[in-house]
Amino acid sequence: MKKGIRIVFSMVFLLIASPYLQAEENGITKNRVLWKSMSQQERVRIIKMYRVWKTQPAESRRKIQQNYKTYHNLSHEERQKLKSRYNEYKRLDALHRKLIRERVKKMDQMFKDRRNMILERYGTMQKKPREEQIRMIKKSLFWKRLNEQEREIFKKLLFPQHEENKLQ
Amino acid sequence: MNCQWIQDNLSAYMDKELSEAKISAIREHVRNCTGCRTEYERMSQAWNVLNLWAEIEPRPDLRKKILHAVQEEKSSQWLQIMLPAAAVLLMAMSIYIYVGYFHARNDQDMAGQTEGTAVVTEHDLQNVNEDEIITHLELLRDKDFYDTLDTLEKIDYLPLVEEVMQNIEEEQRSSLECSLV
Amino acid sequence: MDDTDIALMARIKEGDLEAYEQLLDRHQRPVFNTAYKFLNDEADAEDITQEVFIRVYKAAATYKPQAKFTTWLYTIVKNLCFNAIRKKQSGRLLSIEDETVPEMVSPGDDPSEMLSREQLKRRVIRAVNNLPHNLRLAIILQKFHGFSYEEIAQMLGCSQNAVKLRVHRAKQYLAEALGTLKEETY
Ligand SMILES: [Zn+2]
Repeated sequence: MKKGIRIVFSMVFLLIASPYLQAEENGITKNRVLWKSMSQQERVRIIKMYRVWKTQPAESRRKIQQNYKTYHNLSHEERQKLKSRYNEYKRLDALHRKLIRERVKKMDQMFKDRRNMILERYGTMQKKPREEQIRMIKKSLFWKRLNEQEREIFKKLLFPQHEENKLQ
Repeated sequence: MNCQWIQDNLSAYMDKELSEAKISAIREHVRNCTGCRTEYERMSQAWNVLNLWAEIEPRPDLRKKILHAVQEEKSSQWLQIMLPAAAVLLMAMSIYIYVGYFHARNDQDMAGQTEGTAVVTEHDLQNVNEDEIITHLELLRDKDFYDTLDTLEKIDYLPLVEEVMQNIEEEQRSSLECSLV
Repeated sequence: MDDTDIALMARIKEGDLEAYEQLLDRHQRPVFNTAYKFLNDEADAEDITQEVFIRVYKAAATYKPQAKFTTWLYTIVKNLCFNAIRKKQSGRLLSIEDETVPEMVSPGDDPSEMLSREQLKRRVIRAVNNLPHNLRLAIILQKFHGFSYEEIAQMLGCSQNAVKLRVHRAKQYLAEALGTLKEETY
């Protein structure tokens, strides 16, 4: 019930306010051109996305927007890495995707000092040459505890294609 | 009282879950019987070693989370009683504004788009705020990607988790007082 | 401000959130640690603790003090823990812990006395985790919370004799598992 009211409120707000809010920001003109130039098919797809987007809770919308910003602040290499990782991730079946999300979520829920320690170690690891990093990953407890199938999955996620020759 | 009975009751004896009479009988027997004494020592040592597994403090977050959830629960109980009428009213109002607004917009620039296989029909564009789509166009185009981005980034950290956990366990252990032989 | 749990529950029923906070502060830590020891996983233990206390809140309206409050509370804990472990075992594949904990000597940290104690602790945790659920929960409640056999019997919904037997078997198992360890490390 409460959620419903929140949606109604936000709908009313958007519908009243949007004509006044629109068209000012940078990039919107560019987006408008892009939108007009899109094929019908693409537009239908985006409208569907939009509908899904609108039904998502505010918190996950915020998260997506935050991620969007983060992505645009990344270097070219990092962006490429994440894109190709996403492509691998998309190819996994739903169960594996879910299990990976759960693993990450568990890490998120760890005590703050532990998370910080992980980040710190990651920073240290990043300063080493890539070969060394790969060796460290493959020596880790994490890697040892994976089974064959899981290793295949994480190989694809952690080591991009062109690194294939560096593996074993 | 044979040794078998004694040994079957050693655990309850350690936990003081027996009558006084039985407790003193077992104490007496254990003092004099080597077999039962060995078994008693073995069990109570193992039991003491469990002290190594210390309690941990839940994150302060948890208390907040619980109280927050309960507040929500409380207010939703209230809402369930009070607000259906208000909701209906708002709904009617919003539909009224909504229909009026979209009529205007559709008349302006959504007229007649009928080409290609997937056609954006009037129906598709109902309930849709085109300006909002345009504002977030890039985001919407790759929404699924952005949705998973944080997870994807964090995959890099996973190989470090278990060593860090182990390190911390070791630290905790070194500050631990235990009743160890 | 030193109300009994049952008095607090009565106040919660009247909508007194301060009473709820008191109750929470009193029991949150032991409940969390029970779930943590049973599942050996902090995140899961947090989820369970949260769920337990939400249920307590929801149940306050209809709560009738029949047994001790803690008996009732830990019955909820038991049910949620058993559900969680059932779920966990059905989705094993990528779950964070593994049954086979390989012994790994972390580099740059090898005072041998320390290591053996750490090993011992890990062995303790593993031994407890190897126990069947019923035995495991029984000894967690007995050892770490000091509940009596009678109280545990009510929580687990079994006879006092069954608890006695479970605790006994658990101790024998632990003595077995930890006895061999001593020979290895000392
Ligand atoms: Zn004897």
